[in-house]
Amino acid sequence: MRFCIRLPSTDTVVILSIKDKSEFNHDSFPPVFKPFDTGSFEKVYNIELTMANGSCKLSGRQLLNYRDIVNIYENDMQLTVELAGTASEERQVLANMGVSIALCHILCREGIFLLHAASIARNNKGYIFPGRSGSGKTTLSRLSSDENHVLCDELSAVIGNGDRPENTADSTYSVFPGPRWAPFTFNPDYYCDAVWLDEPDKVFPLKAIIFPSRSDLRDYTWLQKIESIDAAVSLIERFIDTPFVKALPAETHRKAFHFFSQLARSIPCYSIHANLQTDIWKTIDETVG
Amino acid sequence: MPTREDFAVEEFGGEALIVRLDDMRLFRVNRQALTLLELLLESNCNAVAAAETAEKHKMDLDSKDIESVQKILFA
Repeated sequence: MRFCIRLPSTDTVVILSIKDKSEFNHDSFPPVFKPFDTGSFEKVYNIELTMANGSCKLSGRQLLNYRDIVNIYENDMQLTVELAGTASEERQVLANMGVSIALCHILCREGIFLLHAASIARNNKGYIFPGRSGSGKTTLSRLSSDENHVLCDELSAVIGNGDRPENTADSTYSVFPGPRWAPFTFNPDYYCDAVWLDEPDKVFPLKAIIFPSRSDLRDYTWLQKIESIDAAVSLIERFIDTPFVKALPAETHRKAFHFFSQLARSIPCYSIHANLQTDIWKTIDETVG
Repeated sequence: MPTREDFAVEEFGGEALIVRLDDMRLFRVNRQALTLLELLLESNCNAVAAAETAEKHKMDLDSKDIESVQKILFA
């Protein structure tokens, strides 16, 4: 059984192969993986899921060892997720975790970085609302007028357009919904219409990053410009919030750190102090331009 | 002993962000503390050698800078 996903805005595909089919529930893998679709792609990554076999030593560099239960090896475009023999009910959870970490690593390698953030498309431009749980990003994202389309309200993906000028001439970065991981990771109700890959090329040039700020003491809505360094700190914190990121190798952390620092310098960043009774998008349009 | 490869640095005007790559812990420091950190890393965390270099360069370090660098390296 093979599943694959195509990474949005790239000509890259990731194929998931399950070696020991009988050990896993095929329906329980991250929903981003769809049944295998043939086609030609510029770049093909392979994630192979297998049970540990004491007699064979896997080749490649060890990317992760989680309590000797999950091992991930990387050999150029091939990532092997190896599980030790564990109770079957845990096995599927660990398999999902291992596959998700491998996918997260591939996304970073391809210059796609995930953020704990809601994202909105408005007049074909992208807006990101990063925030930890309870910060108000979902509330803000649902205050949508007809011109708005909620991309997702939990996990957004940002890609740099430096190497992909065909994406858009409007912005150096684009945003699209982050992948939905396995059901055990998130409550699916948190998502609006973020079904990844239904429109794989639909990415939106990023216009502004807006951090929700909670306070009840406000009569009107206003946005405040944030210094790049403050925005970089908040963005990196919201990157760390995302699942599996801490398990990624140091070189991926380095890449993400530089990515978000540059993002904070390049895209206007604001905090929003919103009175929900007002037309917040009118204020955003007036401030961001 | 920590080495230069264990960290990544981004400068923003007079300040810098430093990330410890192993655990993604972030530190925000001023330029003096960043220079001190770099001196220490270049001298394999030899405080005496770093202090000599700092003196040679007439760096005006205060205890807060030293404290923040200690935190980055060893906390």
